[in-house]
Amino acid sequence: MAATATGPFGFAPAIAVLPLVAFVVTLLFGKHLPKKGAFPGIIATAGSLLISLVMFAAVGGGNAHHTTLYEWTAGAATSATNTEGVAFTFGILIDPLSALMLVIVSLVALLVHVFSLGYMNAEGETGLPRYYAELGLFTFSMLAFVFADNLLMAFMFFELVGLCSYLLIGFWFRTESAPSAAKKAFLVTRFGDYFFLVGVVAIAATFGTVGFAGEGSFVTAAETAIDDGATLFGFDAQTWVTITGLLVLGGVLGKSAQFPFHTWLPDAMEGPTTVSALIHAATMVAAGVYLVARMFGYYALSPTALTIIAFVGGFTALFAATMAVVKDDVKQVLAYSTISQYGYMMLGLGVGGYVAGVFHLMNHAFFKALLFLGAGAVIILMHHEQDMWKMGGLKNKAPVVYYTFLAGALALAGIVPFSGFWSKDEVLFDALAVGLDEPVILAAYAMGLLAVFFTGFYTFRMVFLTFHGEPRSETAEEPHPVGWPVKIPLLALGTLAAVAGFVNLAPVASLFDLEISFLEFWLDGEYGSVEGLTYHAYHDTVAEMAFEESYIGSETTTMLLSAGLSLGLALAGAFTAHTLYNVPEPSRHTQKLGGAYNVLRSNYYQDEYQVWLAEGLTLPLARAADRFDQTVIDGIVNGTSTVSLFSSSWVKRIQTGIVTNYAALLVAGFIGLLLILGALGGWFA
Amino acid sequence: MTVDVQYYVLLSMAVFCIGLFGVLTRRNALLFLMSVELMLNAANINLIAFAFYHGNLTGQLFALFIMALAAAEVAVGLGIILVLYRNFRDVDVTVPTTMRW
Amino acid sequence: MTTGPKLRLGKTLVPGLLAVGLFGVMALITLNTAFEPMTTAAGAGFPDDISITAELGYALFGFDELQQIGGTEPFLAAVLLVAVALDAALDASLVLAKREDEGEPVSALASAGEEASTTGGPTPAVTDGGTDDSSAGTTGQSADAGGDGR
Repeated sequence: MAATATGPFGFAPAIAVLPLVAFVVTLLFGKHLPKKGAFPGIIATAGSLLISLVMFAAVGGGNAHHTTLYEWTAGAATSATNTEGVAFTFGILIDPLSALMLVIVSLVALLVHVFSLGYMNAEGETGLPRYYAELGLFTFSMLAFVFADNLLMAFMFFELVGLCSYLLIGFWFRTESAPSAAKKAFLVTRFGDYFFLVGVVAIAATFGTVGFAGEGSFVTAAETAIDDGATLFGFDAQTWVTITGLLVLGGVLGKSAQFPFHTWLPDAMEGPTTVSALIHAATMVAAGVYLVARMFGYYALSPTALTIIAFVGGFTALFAATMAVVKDDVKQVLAYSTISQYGYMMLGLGVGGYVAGVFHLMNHAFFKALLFLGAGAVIILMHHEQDMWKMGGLKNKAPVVYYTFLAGALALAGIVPFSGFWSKDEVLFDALAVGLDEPVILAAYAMGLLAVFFTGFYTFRMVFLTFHGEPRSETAEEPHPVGWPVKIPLLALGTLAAVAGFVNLAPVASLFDLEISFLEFWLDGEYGSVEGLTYHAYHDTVAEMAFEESYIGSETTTMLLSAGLSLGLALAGAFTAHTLYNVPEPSRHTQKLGGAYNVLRSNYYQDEYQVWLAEGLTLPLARAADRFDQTVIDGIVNGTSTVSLFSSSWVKRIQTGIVTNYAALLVAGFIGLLLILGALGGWFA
Repeated sequence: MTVDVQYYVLLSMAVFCIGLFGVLTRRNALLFLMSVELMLNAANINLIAFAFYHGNLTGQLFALFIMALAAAEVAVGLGIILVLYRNFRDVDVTVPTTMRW
Repeated sequence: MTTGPKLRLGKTLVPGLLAVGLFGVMALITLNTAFEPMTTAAGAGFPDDISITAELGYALFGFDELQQIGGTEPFLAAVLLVAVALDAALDASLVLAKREDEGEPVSALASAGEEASTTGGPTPAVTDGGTDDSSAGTTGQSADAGGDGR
């Protein structure tokens, strides 16, 4: 059962096991450790980062790793595609995508652990061993999810990260709002995960396998089924692939906070800001999008599923961006911004832009974690005040925080040459290329494009209100100083937000005919790769099954056109914010929107709608089901016993106690016996 | 001219059924016992008849034993009626109804 | 003026119909059975000159050699068993007849029963169905005493 891995890949399980060990150590001994358990976490995530970099280099050297660690059960059922037996295993898949994601996750986890020294320890929080233990458990689950080699293992760790999210959001459980937000997060994501589980079972039952890669994967089985024109469970193969893909998408939408399951993310800001940076910006919400990228070969077989993904993504991008415009709490703006940016990633993946989606995922992890950590630094500065209208003028008092935050904001808004520009532009370009033939995709593109304006606006509104202008409260005039554990992660991430875009300068590469789109080469299998999980394989499948790309003029022209549009809109949004808010005494301009302001402020009444669904729809159904259970089912069971008791109380009256009655019964029985024997024996002939 | 054996059998059955009638309808315990005696004697008639039919004395001997046992049974039965009367103050067999649920 | 015992008629006779039914069924069976007529040639009847009672006696005690009617089974064991049974029946009836009279057991064949039973007082029950008063009680006593003298 041990992995038969060669070379550095033998250390792959340690990537996840190290944080698990840190979890156990912190749980048991955290109280007695210095810094209440921060160091096991820091050491473990640093170790994971190191091993992830080694894996990254190994894949870069031309290898990939796919092995089964442990088979925990196997069955003998025959699937719908006539595959014999189904086995459920734990395994590791290290290919370019997972190696990249491992580095991202472990890096952000390490930086968040370091930042926590300044945010939690230095601020005198209590319950820290529990905090660090939960962070360790989360890091373990997320890393194991990333290198999972089959859908069921991915599902298990998907659920586990959801649990950790619940624990961490509800960290300050003695308040009223935090446990409630934790429950909301858990329930909403769990609702999506229900569909995910049904999808996993459907895939296992249909294809007899849940592996992602190689010959024994459900992706190749699905391709074979579609090529053979098989009928699965009464549906045409491609339709069934769509149905199961959409079921799995339920979990993705829940975890990545896309419409309509986005309502939990703004409330999840009740947790500590470091948790928001790690979980609700860079890693856990990325799990949904990562899963789509992991199973991309499967989604590529179904144009319907891809269209839905793209449309939901584009819609969510615009939807969330409009809501971020009117928020006053710095963390709430960032939360809606996260929802919106994940919409872009879904849009990118939905149109077959695998590289674009993954690129944006990577960049977003860095700049959003940076922004959240920056917001955490601001919260420390402001003595835990989060309302932006009480801030102002912080840029002179905390220059490191300001400049790193500004770098993150420029990346988020998508201003050249920061990372966000390159990835967002590539997403929009891919959407346009496909949208020119498909009207639905064009609508999604339009929504995504419009959202760029709003993104620029709310980002710079946030920056100007927080850092520029005159201080609007006493705390802003005399902020609390921040220490080095805060500044180092901010500097690291700020640098990444600025330069990470240079790994895939697609417009430059196409304009000057240079071979510099390194991420595309990376994902295309030019270094190491696993058969079938490469960009060109996906691109071919999408082109064959789903979408054709077309251009306005040539590819380069279209690319420059879309880049110009998105940059222009981002600058326009930033300029609007500059005009309105980059003044010494900004006023609340968004309230002038009147009715629209109220709708946006109430989040389009989505929360009320979901509560109504639970109370007005589910509760009566549940009551009816309960009544059915009590009366019909319990009634049948009780009725059986009642019938038995009733009939016995009638039959017992034969025993009257009077001996002559018994004698009469004897005689009657004897007569009956004689008659029967006589009739059978021919006595009465 | 001898009587055919089926008439003896009929007679024995008639006496048996008369005794059975008494067992089923009589309320007085003593009359109940008398009806039981009638049934026993019906069996005796049957035995004697078949002894004569086969020319074999076994039947007659058996009838003797039945009479002896009938006497023993009556002795015990009367004792039971005594105890019954003591406990229920009446020899009506429909009065004691405790042997039931 | 006493009234004689009245025969109970009416509903109580309904179980008797079962007895009638049983007679009907058995009569039907009997009349449908083929019996050989009782003739001496078929082996019916006993020889004229033999004492049947003597034969019965020989068979009862197992004297096969003295029998003149063949085929009769020996009943020695049965005799002994019935003797034991009759004895047991006698003892049983005596036990059943024993009654308690204010803590003093009263039984037939008791040697000191007469003095014990003259302590007076009402007896709970009397065996001849009489009423529960002292005169009947004395009658009851004397019946018992009469049993003694037998």
